[in-house]
Amino acid sequence: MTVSVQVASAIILLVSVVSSKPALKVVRRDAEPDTSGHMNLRAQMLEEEMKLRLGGNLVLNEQEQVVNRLLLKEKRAIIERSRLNKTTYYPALSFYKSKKFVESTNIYQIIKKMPKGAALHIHDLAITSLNWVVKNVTYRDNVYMYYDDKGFVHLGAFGTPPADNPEDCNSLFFLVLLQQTIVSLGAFGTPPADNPWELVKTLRAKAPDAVMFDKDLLNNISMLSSDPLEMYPTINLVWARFDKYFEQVISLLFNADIMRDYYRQALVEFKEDNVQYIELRAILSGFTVLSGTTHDAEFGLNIYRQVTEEFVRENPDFLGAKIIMSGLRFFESSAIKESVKVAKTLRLKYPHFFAGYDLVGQEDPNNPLTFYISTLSQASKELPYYFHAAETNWQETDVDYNLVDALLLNTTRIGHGYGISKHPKLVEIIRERKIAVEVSPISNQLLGLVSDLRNHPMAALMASGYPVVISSDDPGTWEAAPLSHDFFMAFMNLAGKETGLAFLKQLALNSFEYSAMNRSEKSRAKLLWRSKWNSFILETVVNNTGLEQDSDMKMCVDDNRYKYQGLTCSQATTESSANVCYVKEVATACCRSCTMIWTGMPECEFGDRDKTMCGQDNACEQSANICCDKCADTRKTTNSQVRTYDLSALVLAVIFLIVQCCI
Amino acid sequence: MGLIIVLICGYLVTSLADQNVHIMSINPSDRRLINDDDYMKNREAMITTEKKMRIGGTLSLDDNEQAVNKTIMLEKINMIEFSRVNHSQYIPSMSFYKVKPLIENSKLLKIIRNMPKGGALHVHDLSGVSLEWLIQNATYRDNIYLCVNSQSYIVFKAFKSPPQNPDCPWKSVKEERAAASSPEQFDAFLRHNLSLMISDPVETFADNNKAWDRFKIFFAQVANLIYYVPVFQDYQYRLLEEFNADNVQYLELRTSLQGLYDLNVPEYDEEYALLLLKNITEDFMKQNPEFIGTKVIFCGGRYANSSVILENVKKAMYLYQKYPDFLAGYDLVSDEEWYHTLLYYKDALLYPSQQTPPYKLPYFFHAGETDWQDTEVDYNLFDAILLNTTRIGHGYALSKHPFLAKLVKSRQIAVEVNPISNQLLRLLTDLRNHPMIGLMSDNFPIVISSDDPSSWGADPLSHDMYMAFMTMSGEDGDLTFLKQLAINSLQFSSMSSNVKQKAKKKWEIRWNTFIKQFS
Repeated sequence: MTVSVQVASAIILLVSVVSSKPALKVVRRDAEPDTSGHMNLRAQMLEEEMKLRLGGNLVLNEQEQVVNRLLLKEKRAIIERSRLNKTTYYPALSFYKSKKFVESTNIYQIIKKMPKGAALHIHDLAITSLNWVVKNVTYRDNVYMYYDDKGFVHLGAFGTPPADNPEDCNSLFFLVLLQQTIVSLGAFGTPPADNPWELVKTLRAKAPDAVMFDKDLLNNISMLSSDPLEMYPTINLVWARFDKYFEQVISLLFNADIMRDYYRQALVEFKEDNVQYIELRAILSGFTVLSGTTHDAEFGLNIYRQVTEEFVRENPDFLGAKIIMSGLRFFESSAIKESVKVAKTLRLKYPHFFAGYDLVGQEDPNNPLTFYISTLSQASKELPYYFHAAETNWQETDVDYNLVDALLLNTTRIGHGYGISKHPKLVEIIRERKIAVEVSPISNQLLGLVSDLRNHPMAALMASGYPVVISSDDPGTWEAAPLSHDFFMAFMNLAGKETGLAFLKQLALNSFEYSAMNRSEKSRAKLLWRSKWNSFILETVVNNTGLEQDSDMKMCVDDNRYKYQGLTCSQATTESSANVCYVKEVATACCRSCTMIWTGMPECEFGDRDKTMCGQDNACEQSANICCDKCADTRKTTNSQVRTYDLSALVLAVIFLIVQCCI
Repeated sequence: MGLIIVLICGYLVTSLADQNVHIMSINPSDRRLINDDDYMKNREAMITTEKKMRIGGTLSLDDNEQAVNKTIMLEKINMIEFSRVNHSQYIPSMSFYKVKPLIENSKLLKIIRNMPKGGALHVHDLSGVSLEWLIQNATYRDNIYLCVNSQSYIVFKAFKSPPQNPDCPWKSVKEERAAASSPEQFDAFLRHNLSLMISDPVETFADNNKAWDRFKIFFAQVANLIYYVPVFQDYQYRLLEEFNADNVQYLELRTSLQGLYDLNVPEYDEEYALLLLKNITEDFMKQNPEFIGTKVIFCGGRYANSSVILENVKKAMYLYQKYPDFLAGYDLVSDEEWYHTLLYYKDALLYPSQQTPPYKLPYFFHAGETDWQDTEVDYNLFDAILLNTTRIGHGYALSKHPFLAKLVKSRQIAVEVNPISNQLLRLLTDLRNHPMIGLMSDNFPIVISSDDPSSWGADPLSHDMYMAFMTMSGEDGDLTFLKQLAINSLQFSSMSSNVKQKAKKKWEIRWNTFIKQFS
């Protein structure tokens, strides 16, 4: 039914587009061609296509359809406004540039409130908002910082700051992970000469302005303090910055007490963002306490386990978490062998909490899965895998072929799988075996794989109903919401204009279906989610009554044949001094051009009436009526109603800009 | 002491880093050789199965071809691995504006230039000849005038004596050139005003819309220079020369056939234009017997109203009946996202098939040249297929339509892919994200063409082939990929099967010579 509604709407849309374009002038001598055959087939084809999509088979109930219309109405408006008026399509820009716009949309607000199910691909050190880290963690005792030679802040928590090389504190964690196997690899980065660690508290007290200090601290760590797409034009540069983030916070977050709170805060934030369940990729081993002791993986696992259990006890409507242990793909085989051994033990001991194993770190320059193949293939029967594979643009390289290995190693899901659409055989396998691909749109964009997310290769697979889930990878790094921003990006870029609520609902359902939960856990999860979903739908319907009704909207385009004093619409509206949109005939014929300069002010709908005149300095004294836009402030103060009218005029303008919204 | 530690650590780090790079760049496949025999066998089987599925996957190369293959693969793999492992920029993934000067000395590009590439099936008439020729030859002729419009763009036209045109007063190009400080400087000024490549289009134009606006201005600038019959004749001849020199043997040229004029006749009709093109081709073939030929695809503009297009279609039917060997069919061109859809013209476009008996006018529609999924532009793909299109121009959005993609494959409707055009008109930036890659890995009927090569200073076809090879096929995509693309370009041309057979033979001879000459 959803499908038929969508198809029907698409057809009505198209028919109305045609009928509202200027009627033919020439009367044809020939018989009117019969186009019904064409139109019927077309509708059938569209319906077939819509059925294939992710969510294409879901049936929406009446209330869901209300929400669906709400979403589609705004989605169509944003897309068509940009397409037909040649204005910027914000959702396709760098997240750095689009974030504000995204948050201003009603779609985002709805997505935020929507129970989204699970986030299945997130990393331990980048899940909580940086703002919380700065405002909470850095205010604690024993938190130290220093600036490295490139100006990046590094944070750490110590009983006493290490007396020697501060980089060792970062590498301490690597040392523990390596577990005596190759201790000689302990030096990372360039060692500064003197010990620069200082208490954050002391520095903040010394700073002229604590608020500014915190702000600087946040900007120093965040990847979103400048546009990553411009700052780091290549994948490797952006990965260097990305790795730097982890260096900056690692000595802090590998303090066991801080991680406990950090992780708890993550659960709070994910829950607030209406995520019901997470699967966390975590390194586990190497946690320290202030006395300096470092701990093993089981200790780490228990941190997450205890916090999760406590949180679920306090929040029975949250389903919990599972851990995917992550080895690092720049390690020696022997180190991975050790870590897989540990993983197997933990999997046996904590079968409900320990989901499986993965390898993390930038794929391109590091070891492919084949490098560890003996270890990995031996363990593949006992240990479920969740491999990152082909997070890359490099087709048919080692990185790309990680996909083959991941599948041969019987991976449960694929992390990113960005390269998989280039492998017709492999996509066949993932469909057959229901191996879900974890797609993290914002991560892929900011880490340099694709700039315009409409080119994301997964758009094709989602149009074809492959098993896909949306996740957020490292939202803390780039100040994204736990999951909502990524959902928004998927909705606006990886799915078409006519793809609505069913797509989002299916993504939420997929996130449980492809999770590591067992069958009874899954059914409990879906039950809980369903009741949340229903109240979300109800709430959205209630909150948006009235907004939904469409007024009489017409096709708003420029008549290509129309000439005003020899000028085309765009020429007439931009080139002549007098504002021709005030000529009624022009406003009608040049709907699109005139809408672009629509101000919404009464008596001044299209702005100043004469460019030349209003360009003069004393224009407001001489001709305030003609320069109604320029002199609006002086006019507005005398008329308090203008403001309220402004809003409705804005709505009107938006309505004008919408091409057609028939249901 | 501290200093010594620093030095040692520093040395350790750098040497480790060096060693790291070194280890990785020797031979990446070495690392695949891990003892687990069965596992590796399975793995190879999987990879081989998939490789056979891609464009050219079933072709085999003889010994001589292997030699060529070795050379081109050496450069390809080196370039990819160097960049991937050593953290450097991958040149072919950048904007063509930046790529072009960097690959000028590439051995691979040289080989691709020498390679007989078959046909170019998607080329527009106003941007097929290098800008250099237009400036150095066409604008040097008598009776050519220019005016500078309000947006400071130069527009050309030919007159006996120019009319009053207060908004954009006509000036003789000859006189302007003579008045300039030097002809070279004047020509440079023209180049700067006409070219889309004075700055990087990927940076200059924020999106596809902005790029198209500039692109349309280019056509407006040169149209009346090229459509001036004395120029037109030489231009078209030159076009064949340039494509032939780039080792393209066959051409299907999209042209409006309208707007031709000279000093005596203000407008010639389509048949005149078609005959002119036919004669030029025949002349050229006489001089260059190894060339396979040219066909014309008659194009209406998507900005025209329905009745104009209906007249167009009728004209096309008349011409197709009269010159079936020279006119291939009909298409609609110009900014697809902005102008009318195929659906808007459905009455006109269905007209031929609704005659009794149905008249079969082949269509070659541009469709889905867009990032806007599910919009009316995107849905042009539905109408193109329903209108029984012979090929699809661009079809950039096809991969997002699994149902249509299936039809395209089963009915062997070829998609004409123009990588550089898609990039510079801002559909995507890094060509490794081109949505056609997925379809090319699955041996969809695809040909590579160049759209408007002279607008961005590209070779008639070689640069697009180079980009396709380096970004749209994997690291192991080799000569078979290029060879199959050449074969496809003849296979999916609108030549009749007899002619096609002959054409393929002609091409094969050229191909063998190319291979022989290499060794």
